[in-house]
Amino acid sequence: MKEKKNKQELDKEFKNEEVVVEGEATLDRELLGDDKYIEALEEKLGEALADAVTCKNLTQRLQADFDNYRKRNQTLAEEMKQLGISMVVEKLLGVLDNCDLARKYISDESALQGFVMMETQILMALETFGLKEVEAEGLPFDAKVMNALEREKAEGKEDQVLAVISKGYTLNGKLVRPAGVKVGY
Amino acid sequence: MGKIIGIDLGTTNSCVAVMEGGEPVVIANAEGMRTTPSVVGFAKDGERLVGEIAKRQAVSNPDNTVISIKRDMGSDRKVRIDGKDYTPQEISAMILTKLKNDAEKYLGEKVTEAVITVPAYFSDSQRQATKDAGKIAGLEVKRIINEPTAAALAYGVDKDENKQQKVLIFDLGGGTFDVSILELGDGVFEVLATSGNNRLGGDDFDKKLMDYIVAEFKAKEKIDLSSD
Repeated sequence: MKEKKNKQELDKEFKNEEVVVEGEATLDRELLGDDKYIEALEEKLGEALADAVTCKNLTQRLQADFDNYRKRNQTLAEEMKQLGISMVVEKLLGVLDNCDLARKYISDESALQGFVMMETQILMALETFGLKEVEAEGLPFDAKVMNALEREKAEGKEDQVLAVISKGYTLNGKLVRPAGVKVGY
Repeated sequence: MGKIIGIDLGTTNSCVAVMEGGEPVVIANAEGMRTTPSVVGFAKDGERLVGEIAKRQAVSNPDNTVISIKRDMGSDRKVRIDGKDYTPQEISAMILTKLKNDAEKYLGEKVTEAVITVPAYFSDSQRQATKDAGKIAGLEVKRIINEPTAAALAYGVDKDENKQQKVLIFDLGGGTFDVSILELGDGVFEVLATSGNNRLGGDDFDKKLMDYIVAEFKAKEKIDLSSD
């Protein structure tokens, strides 16, 4: 019963659409005459075709946007997890840097021992998330993981890392921060 | 139908963006950064380095590193690296290629068309040089847009079509500082005046702040942080 009623309503709507296109004047063949009627129809057809091209272009663009979005979203969850970890780890790198700087100003032997133990503990905790220090000392300079901060004349040690000025780190193989180094030339 | 990318080819840093769902989206480079240093380096083994990696090796390889090539666009100056001469267009093309590659990686499709911004004060020859750089990089440059105009468009000041208005644009880049006054009427931007300092930018602000903090810390704590 309900289905029948719906069908009747749809038929009625369809008929209405045939008679008057929303917001537009009805084309009356008798009133316009054949030539003008055809002319008006052709004009409408042209407009409709132009609209169709616009809509097709828009659909293609939206489809392409959506496909790209979907492709990127497939890996997004894992990336977001890694991003969350890296955000926390990056903040803690500042703490590790300061530990490095502060260590040389601690003169008390037992205080230094405790300090080093705490520093190691922080580093080990971060290592469980995939943090790894960039090895640089004595190695050939590699701009992929190192940042040259200074250079010094060093015979036989051209393009080699003479000293690490600030430590660099990778997180699960991805560079978080390059090692700041002094390079020989 | 491929996407058209928008490129801000800057003196210090460059940036690439694409329209997605009617909104501009900045594309992060392979290193995960939203801007790419406009630096090109030639490693000893002949490898060509562009962007962050080139910047990192600049101190250790200054003779074979090119920075701020934008300042030479449109001039006859050439950069000599290992006995080979490079035009500013060729060096800029290397930066554009890197941006194009990063955009292709992000979009997962080939990119062949771009819109590039240039300073409002750029002459015709400088604009042509920028177009040529795009061509060398395999990009058809659909438009060259004035940087202040692009900024005004990004802020949507053209949305109110009936309104005739004057806009002041401050563009503080890494190495340059530009101020432009634009007039907008009937959807057309006209650059009324432009001026600035092409040797002043955010990098100078950073350096001043750093020097100040180092000096203050040294005076108070007797420790020289500049060596850290």
